[in-house]
Amino acid sequence: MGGIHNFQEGRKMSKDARNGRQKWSPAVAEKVKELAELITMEQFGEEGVPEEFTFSEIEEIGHQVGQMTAAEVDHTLVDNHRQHFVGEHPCPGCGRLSMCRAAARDLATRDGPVVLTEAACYCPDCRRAFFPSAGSVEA
Amino acid sequence: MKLDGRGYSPLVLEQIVTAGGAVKSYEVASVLLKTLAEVEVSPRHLNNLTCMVGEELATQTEQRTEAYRNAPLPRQPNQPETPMELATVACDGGRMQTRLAEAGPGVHDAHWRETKNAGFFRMKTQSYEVDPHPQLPRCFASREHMSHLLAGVPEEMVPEEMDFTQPIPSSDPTPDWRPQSLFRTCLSSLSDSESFGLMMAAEADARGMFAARRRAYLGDGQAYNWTIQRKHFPTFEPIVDFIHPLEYLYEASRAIHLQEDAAWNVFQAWAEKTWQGGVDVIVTELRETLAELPEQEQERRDAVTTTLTYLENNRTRMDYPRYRREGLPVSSALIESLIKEINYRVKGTEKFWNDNERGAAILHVRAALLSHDDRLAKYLRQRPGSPYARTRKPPVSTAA
Repeated sequence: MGGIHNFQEGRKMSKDARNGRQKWSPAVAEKVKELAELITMEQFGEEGVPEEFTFSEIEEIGHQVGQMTAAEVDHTLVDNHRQHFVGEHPCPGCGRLSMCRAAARDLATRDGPVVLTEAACYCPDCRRAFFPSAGSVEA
Repeated sequence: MKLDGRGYSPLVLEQIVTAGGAVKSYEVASVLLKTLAEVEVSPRHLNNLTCMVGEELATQTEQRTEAYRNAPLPRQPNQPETPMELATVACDGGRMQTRLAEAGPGVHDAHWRETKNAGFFRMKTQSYEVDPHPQLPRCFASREHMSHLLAGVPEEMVPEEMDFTQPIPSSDPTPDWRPQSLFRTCLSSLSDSESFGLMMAAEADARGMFAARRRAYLGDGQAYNWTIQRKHFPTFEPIVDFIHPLEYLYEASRAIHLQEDAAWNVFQAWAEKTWQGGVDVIVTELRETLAELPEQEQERRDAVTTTLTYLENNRTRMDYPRYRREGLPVSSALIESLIKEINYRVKGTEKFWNDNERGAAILHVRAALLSHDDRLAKYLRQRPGSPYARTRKPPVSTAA
């Protein structure tokens, strides 16, 4: 809590936290702040964080929100990335063109499980599904 | 996106394989992953994933070695990324217990296999007008200290309360003349010395070591070491680890002098001579002593003959005063230390690895983890994806 040096001045962030925020636009930082306030209100209401609450409990809430945010960002970015793979793609086995569709998949990430929607094709000749976003064929 | 068919992101796979190669067992790795990274993976699955990546690393090393082998001659040496004052290559063997692969559960046909290990060190050094340390370092004159390097120093000479984890205090005012290691990469494998030598050359070339200002190749008395040096590192100064001849000299001194104190005093004189480059003098002395030893004392004669042969075979690689003047290393402490780090993961009375590529995979993972160039992480982040089947659900932990 070394960053908070004066209650009147309000919240003073650590250097690391400031640098972390500078990677993103002020609009993103503002949304994150709003999210934090919304979570505080939803978890603790008007009375705020109880006096006996420990930092471990605070950290756990922050961690869960972080995981939720990461999962949402991963999902959105992969969904966006999928737009590169609309239409037909050659089967890595026989080269026959097959139409892609969206296929859901669970992936364990550093921030917990994430559901991704990948572009998936099915080759009727090879009777096998393939995923063109993989980039290359694994031996 | 470089995703494969498994249920882990590349960064999670990096955490899994790092844990699998870094700690003593897959069980401990599984517990650590759950506690520190919130990744639930059973020890068995952790084993499978670590071996899978280890085998991939082995394939990558083989491909690089093959490319080096097929490069047009004369080879143009790669330039180092960072200028290199001294490049030191050191090779030594280790041991791991293996079992027959694909023979069902349990340990079948348990046996020890030799691992080949090599360290590649970028070092900081300087040369001197005169030998910067002509006197034998004090540690080699200490019976207590030497009892840990040489077999046979009697127990009663070693006080029980001595703490051997602490270095011997030195009152020597000479500034440290020894080259300092700045950056290390390493290789470890179950392959034979011929394949391993080429693998070493490819690694050294990738690091730009053939273009370093000074080059040294350190080894013990194993013949394959010097075959590798002659064949693949001819421009490197071959140096026998100073500790190694001491073992032979101690054995010879005990064979000649049956009284322990007399043997120790002779050994001390020889150690000092060796340090000061007087191997030829010792060889002459040993020849004369051998001629005087009675024929019926075959065991004692054998010990002296073995030492004599060792010194005669290696005398050209034991010019220690010149090495010190030229700022070259004289001890293979760095590779010995590296082998201890590799053994920490692979060697243990309760550890048996499959005697095939799968068993060797742990060596590749361990060597990648011990290399300073972050090669495991780099490999996993660039690892090719697979266009085929995806698992719908990530594996559920079965860890206890």
